[in-house]
Amino acid sequence: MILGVIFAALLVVVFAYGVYESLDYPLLAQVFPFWISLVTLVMAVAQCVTEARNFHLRIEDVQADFVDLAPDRSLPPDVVYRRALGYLLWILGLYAGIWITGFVIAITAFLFSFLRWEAKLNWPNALYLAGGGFIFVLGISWIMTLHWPEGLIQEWSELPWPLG
Amino acid sequence: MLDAALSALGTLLTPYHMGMLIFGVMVGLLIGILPGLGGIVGMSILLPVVPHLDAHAAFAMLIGMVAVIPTSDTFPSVLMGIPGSSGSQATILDGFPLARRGEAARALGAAFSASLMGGLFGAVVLTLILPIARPIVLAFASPELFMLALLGLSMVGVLSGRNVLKGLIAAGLGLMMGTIGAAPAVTVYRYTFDFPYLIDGIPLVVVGLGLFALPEIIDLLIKGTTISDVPGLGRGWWDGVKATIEHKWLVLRCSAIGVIVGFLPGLGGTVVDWISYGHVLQTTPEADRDNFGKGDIRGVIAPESSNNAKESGGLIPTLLFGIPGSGSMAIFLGGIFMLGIEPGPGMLNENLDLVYTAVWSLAFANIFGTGFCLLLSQPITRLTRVPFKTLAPFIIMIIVLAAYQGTRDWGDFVALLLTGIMGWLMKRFGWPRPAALIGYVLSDKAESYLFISVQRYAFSWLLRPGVWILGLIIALSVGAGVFWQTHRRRSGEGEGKGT
Repeated sequence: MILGVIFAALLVVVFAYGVYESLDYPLLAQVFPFWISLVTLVMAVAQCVTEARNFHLRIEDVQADFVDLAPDRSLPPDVVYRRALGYLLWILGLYAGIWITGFVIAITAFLFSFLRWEAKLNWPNALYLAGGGFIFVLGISWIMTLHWPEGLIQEWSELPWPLG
Repeated sequence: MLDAALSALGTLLTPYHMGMLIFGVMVGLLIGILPGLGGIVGMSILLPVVPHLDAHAAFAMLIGMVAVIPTSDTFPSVLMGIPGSSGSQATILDGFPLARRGEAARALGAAFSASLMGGLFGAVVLTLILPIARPIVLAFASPELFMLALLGLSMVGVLSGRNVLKGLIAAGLGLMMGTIGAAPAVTVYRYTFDFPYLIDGIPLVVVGLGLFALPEIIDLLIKGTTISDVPGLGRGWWDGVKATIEHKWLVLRCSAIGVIVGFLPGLGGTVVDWISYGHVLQTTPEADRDNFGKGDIRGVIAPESSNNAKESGGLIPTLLFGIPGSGSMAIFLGGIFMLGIEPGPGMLNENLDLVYTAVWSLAFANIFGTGFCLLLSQPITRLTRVPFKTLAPFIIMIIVLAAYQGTRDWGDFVALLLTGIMGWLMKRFGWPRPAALIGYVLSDKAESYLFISVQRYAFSWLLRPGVWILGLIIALSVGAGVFWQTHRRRSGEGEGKGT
């Protein structure tokens, strides 16, 4: 499984960087990260070699033999990665929306478009649920005095609450 | 003493004080249900009300709030695989698989009844321990706290199963993530890549949501079904309550763990669920252990009974020393000051009735909180029958909003996404995420206490009896793990030869 090897190799890089970077720190700040990353680096290299040896194994054969939620292996890997990338793009889209329009507008638009085009709800239901989400955000933020990230629009213009 | 306890009970039972207690409980339940929000947020909401109340009502409200967060935070942990707050991360491991099997109501019933017992146990212990708490708390100096952090880290071995190497690497990754930001001993900013956001390190809320919540959402979306794989709501909550009663000794042991971890200032409640989860694994016979992580009810009962008990433990150092054991207790301390009360050993002489108000409030809040949650459990469980694609955008909305409360910086969004991708890949390629989370939580504490120990005692800290006792416990715990490992491997080989 090439991707498993790449992931292990990435960890090796991370710990190698951890060791390298810690060399610049004064002693008191250095001891802990230096030793942790050095020891983990050695283990990560060993694990990387193991993964490379098991290169021929498919992901279905990698059993999560420890205590964590078991990964679902029922779908073929290419479907899993394609869909995962799709949902990652949804979240990036939400982030971009927040960056431009601020949290309230972006989250409402995200709710609506996700419900309409991803969950395939009809227009009235998607509108109704997104509206519910909008009111929930307003209510919960008012009760708990939560803060929202502002977007470019809020920087440029004075919008009334809750949009501003 | 009995007089003070009874007079405090009398005061608390007046409608005004009961009303404030129930108000606090409501706020606490709401905060617990919302993933990512915890006691700090609750205390900050309620603090402005404090100056308008008398001391007993304020205590009832604040303690009522903080006592029930670990009760209701089970909802998102069990139903969606998302940590409701940092004290119920371990509940996910077995609670969520139970929900997926259609046994959400049973898991919730067990969790709530375990929470109740843990909370009541904590209140009782608080009463008994108050007169003798001072020397016990003082016996724990930095060396002992460092050893406790090591004990927490040793749970990684237990949780890693046969993949000890991967578990250790994951823990190392968590430890390294914990070193990001200002170093504890000197003014150096480590691994910040010149981002101001990283100077304070990545908030625990963000790491918890990233490692567990985001990967679960993505995986459920990929699968595109409902959370529960089977039709119907499964067995009722009463079965869960019966399971808790059946495992009453486990509940008691984990409650004791909760109180002890809670009352040691500095370790905080964030690891108590993992420590008790490790405990139930260690004390379960090997042959009986295979179901953990796949929906064993004991994996729900253990963390849930400990995380309610820790709140009463946390009150001890706060009230007796003015040393808050956690962020929410720090704000609670602020509330006590606002009432014009000086926390410290004098509390036991001058404000004994208030101390008992705290104890009674804990007990009543746990009873009310559990009652409300049990009432809610059957209707809320229906969420597991809603197509996940309809549910997902709302969950994403809540975790994004919650993550942003971490530091109110764009960095929270970026960190959430990056830790989320990391968590997803770890799950996909079979790396234990609990190990990484434990490493992350304990990193800063382990390093700080180690430095203070060495600077204060040089190397003579290694000779302290407390260090030896804790070292022995760690050795036993790791040794037992190694023993089971080799035992299992041998018996596995034996079976292999037999066939």
